[in-house]
Amino acid sequence: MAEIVPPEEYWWMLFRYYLIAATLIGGSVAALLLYFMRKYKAESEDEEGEDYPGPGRVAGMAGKVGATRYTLLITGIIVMGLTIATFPYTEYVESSPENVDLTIWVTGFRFGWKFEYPPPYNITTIGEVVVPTDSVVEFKVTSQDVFHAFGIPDMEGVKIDAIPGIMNTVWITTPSEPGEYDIWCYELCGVGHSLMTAKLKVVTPEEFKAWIEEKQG
Amino acid sequence: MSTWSWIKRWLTTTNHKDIGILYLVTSIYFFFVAGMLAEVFRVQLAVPEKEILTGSEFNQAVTIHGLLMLLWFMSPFQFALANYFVPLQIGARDLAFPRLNALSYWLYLFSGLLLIAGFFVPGGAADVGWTFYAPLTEVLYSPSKGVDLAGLAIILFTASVTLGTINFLTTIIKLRAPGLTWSKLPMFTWSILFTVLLMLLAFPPLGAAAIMLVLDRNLGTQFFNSLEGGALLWDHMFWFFGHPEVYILLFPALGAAADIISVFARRQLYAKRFVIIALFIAVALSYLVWMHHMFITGTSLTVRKIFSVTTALISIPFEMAALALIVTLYKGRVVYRAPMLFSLAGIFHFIIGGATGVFQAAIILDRQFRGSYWVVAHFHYVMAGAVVFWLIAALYYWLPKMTGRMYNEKLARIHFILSVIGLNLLYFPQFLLMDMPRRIYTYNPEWKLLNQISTVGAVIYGLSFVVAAYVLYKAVRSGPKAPDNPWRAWGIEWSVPSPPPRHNYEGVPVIRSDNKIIFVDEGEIKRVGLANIINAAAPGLSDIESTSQVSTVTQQGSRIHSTHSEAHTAHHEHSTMMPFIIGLGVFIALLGAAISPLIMGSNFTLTIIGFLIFLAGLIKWAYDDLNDRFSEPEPEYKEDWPFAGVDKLRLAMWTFIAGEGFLFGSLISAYLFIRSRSLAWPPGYELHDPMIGLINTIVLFTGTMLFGLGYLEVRKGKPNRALLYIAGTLVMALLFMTIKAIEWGELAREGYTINSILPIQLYYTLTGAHGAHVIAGIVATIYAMVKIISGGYNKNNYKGLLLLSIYWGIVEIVWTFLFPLFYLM
Repeated sequence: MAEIVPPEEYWWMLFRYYLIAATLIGGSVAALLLYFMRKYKAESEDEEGEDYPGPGRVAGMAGKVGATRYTLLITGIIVMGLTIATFPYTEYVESSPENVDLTIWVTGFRFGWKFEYPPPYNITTIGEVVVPTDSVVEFKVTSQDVFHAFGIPDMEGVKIDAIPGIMNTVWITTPSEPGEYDIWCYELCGVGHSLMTAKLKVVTPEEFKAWIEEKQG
Repeated sequence: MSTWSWIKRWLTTTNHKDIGILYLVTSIYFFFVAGMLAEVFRVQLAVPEKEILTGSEFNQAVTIHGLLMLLWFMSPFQFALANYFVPLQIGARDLAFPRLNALSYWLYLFSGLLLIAGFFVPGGAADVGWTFYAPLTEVLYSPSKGVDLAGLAIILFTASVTLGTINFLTTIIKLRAPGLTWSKLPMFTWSILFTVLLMLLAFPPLGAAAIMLVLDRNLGTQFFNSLEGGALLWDHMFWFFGHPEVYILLFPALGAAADIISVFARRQLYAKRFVIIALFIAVALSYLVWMHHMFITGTSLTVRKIFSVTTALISIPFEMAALALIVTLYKGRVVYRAPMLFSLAGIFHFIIGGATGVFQAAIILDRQFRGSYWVVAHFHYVMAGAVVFWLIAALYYWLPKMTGRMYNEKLARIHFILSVIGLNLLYFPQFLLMDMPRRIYTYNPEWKLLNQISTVGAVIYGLSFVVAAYVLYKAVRSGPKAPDNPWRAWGIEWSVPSPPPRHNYEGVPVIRSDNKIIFVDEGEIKRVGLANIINAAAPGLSDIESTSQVSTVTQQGSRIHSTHSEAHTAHHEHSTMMPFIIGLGVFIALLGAAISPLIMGSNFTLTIIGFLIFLAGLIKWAYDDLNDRFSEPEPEYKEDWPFAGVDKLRLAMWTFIAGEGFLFGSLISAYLFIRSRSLAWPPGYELHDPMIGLINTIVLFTGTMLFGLGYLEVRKGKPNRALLYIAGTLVMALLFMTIKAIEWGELAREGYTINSILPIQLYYTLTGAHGAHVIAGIVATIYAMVKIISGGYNKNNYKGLLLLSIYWGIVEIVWTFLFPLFYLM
C-alpha cells in the first residue's frame, strides 16, 4: 500500500509545474507588452513608427521574424515537453494498481448515484459510498440513462464520464484518516443535475466491517 | 422618406453595407438577450441553495445564453463587419452574390427567432446545454419542443452560414481591386478568408448532427439514443464542428485586432507573412484536436495522447499571432484611443485564456477541469475577454466610417475601464472554482464567496455594455462629423468618404506597386494600360511617363459622376424582397412543424402556409432571374491570381459542392461509426434488392450524362437538341425518384419503417438526404429548360447550365457511395 501514490498527488505536482511555466511564459510576454506600451508611447498622434505605411496606402508584408523565432522555439519545447512528460502519469492514474482492495460498481441515474459492492459484500447503496481507510478503491462507472460524469472534486483528477453502454474505471487511494468527501455530477443531465450528489465516507476498517454487516442485515 | 419606404428599403436591400448594418443591429440584439440571460443566472448563483430560478429555468438560461452568444451573436457580428468592410478593403463594389447575401441574413435572423420562440412554448426553450450532449436531448429525457426548435434553428443557421461561406470565399478570391495582391490584403480580410474555410468544413457535421437529432426526436430513429451511436456519436460529430468553431469565432476578431494595433502603433504588422502562415497551420490543425473535449469518455489512450499532442501543438501558432501583435509595438509610436485600448486589453486576456488552455491539453490535468468552472473561466477569457474586446475595438474603430460620426472618447474610456474590471472580477474567481461543476444552479456554501465576487463582476461587466449602448446611441444621434480617415489609418476603406457612398468608389480603385491607392477612370485605364498604372512607381518608368499622365478621380460621397455610378443607379434595381419572403416562409414552416403537434393536434396548416410562402418567393426569384434582372458582368479590372481562369459562378459551385461533400461525408461517417459498433449488421443485399439499386444507379448515371450532353448542345447553339437531352435528364431523375418511392413503400409494407432498426433508419436518412438533392435537381432542371426555351441560356450564356451539370455530377457521385453501402455490403 505504502508505495502507491494517490492520483491527486501527481495531479498537484503537475499542476504546479504547469502553473510555474504558464506564469513565467505568460508573465514575461505580458511584461514585454507592458514595457513596449510605455516605451513606445507617442507624444502626438502625428508621429510615425518604423515602416509606417501611412494613409492612402495599403500595408504590404514586413518580413523577418527575428528574435521571435527563438521565443517560439523555446516555448514550443517547454509546452510540448510538459505535455509529453505528463504521459507516464496519465498512464499511472488511468490504470488501476494490481492490488485493488475494493471494487465498486457505480451507476449514474437521473438524479443520483447507485453503488454496488460485488461479492462477497453483495450490497447496494444510493447516494452514499462507504470505504475503509488506507486502501485502494476502484470505481467502475456507467450510466443507466443519459450522459453523466462522476467526480470527487477534493481528490484532484478523480473524474470519469458515465455513459450508457460504456464502463469506465477510475481509482482512488483512501486517506488514513476517516472523513467525508462530496461526489458531484459533472455533465448537465437535466433539471436535477445540481442535486445529483453523493457522499464518499472513509471510515476505519472496523467501522467498515460493521457497516457492511449492518447493510447485509 | 415615409415609414413604409424606409421599411421597404431594409426588407429589399442587397447592398453589402446595408446588410452589414442589418447583421450588426440583429447580432447586438441577440447579444443583449444572451447577456441578460447571463445576468439572471449570475444573480441566481450569487447565493447558494436558493431558488430564484428553478432548475429548468436555469438550464434554459445557460443553454440559450451559450447558443446565442456563440452562434447568433459572435459570428454574425463578425460577419456584419465582414459584410461592410471586406468589399471596401478589397476594392469591390459589393459581394460576389448580393442576393445570396441577403438570403444569408434573413435565414440568420429567422433562425435566431426560431431559437428564441422556445421561450414561448410550454416546457420552455432548449435546456440541455449548448453542447446538446446525447442522449439527454432525446424526447424521453427532454420532451420540451424548445429542443426541436433549437435543432431546427441550428439547421437553418447552418444553411445561412453555408451561403455566406460561398459568398465570401468567392468575393475575396475573385473581386480584389487591380494590384491588390494577396500580400497586401489587410489581416481582417485574411482572417475572414480563413474563417470561411473553417466554416466550410465545420458546419456540415453540425448540420448533419442536428438533422439526425431532429429525426430522432420526431420520427423515432435512434441515432443518439442507441448504444451503437449514442453519446459518443454525438460527441464526435459535435466536437468535430466544435473545435474549429472556436477558431471561427476567434479569427475575425484576431484579424481586426491585428489591423487596429498596427494602425495605432503606426507600424506595419510585425511578421505579417508568418502570422498568415501560423493561422493557416491553425486552420489545418483545428480539425485534429476535437477529441480533447472527450478526454475522459474512455476512448483509447493512444488516440488521446495523439490529440493531447496536437492540442498542445496548436497553441504555438496562436503564440506566434499574439507575439506578432506585441512586437508590432516595438519601435512604433503608440497612440492610445479606445480601439487600441480594447485591442491591447484583449491581448492580456488572450494570454490568460491561452495559457490555461495548455493546462487542459494534458489529459491528467483535464480530468479535474472537465465539466468544471475552470473550463468556463478558460473559454470566457478567450471569448468574452479577447474576442469580445477585439470586436468592441473593431466597432469603435469602424464606427466613424459606418455612421460618419465620432463617438465620445471619454465615455468610451469609462466603458473600457468598467469592462476590464468587470470581466476580470467575473471570470478570474472561476479558475479558483475548479471544483465546482458547471451548470448547477444550487451549490455548496463553501463556494459562496468566489461566486459572489463573480456575480459582482458580472454586474459591472453588464453595466459596461449599458455605457457602450449609450456611447453608440449618442455617437449615431449627435456625434461630431467624422473625417474620412480619423485614425490616419491605411487600407482602401479609409480612402473613401465616411460613410461610403452606395456604390463605394468613383472610378476603379487601383493599388500601385508602391502600395499607394489611386482611383482611376475606366477610360483612363484603357488609355494608359493597367500594368503601367500599377507599376507607375516601379523603377524604369519615370514619374513623367506614368503618374502625372494618369488622372485620378476624387472620392466624393454625394457626387454622381463616373460611368460606374450611373451603372450603379441601375444596381438600385437589384433590390428584391424575395430573400426576406423565402426566409419568412421557411421560418413559418419550421415553426409550424415544431409546434403544431402541441397546439393543433396533427394539423400542419402553419407548415403548409409557410411552405407556400417559401415556394412563392422561390418562383418569383426564378422569374426575375429568367429575365436576367440581376445579371451583372464581373468587373473588368481585378486581381484574382491564381484563380483568373475560374469564373465566380464556377468557384461558388465548387465551394458549395465541397460543403455538400462534407455533409454527406458526415452522414456516411455516422453510418460507419454506428455500423462498426454494432454486434450484428444484416448485409445490405438481405434488406434491399441489389438489382433495383443497380438499375437506379444506371438511371441516375444516364440522367447526369444526358445533362452534360444537353449543356454541350447549348454551347453549340442548338437549343432544340439540348432540350431533348435535358428532358431525358428530367425523365431519368423522375424515374429514379419513382423507383425510390416504390422501394420505400415496399420496405414500409414489410414493417421496415424509419423507426424500425438502425440499418433501415440510416438507409432512410441517407437515401432521403440524397433524394432531397435529386428533387432540388429536378426543380432546377425544369427551370433550366424554361430558360433555354425563353432563350435565356444560349451559346453566349451557358454558365448556369455548367453549374447544374456539376451539381448532377455530385448527386451521382454521392449515389455511387450510397449504392454499395446499402445494397452490396
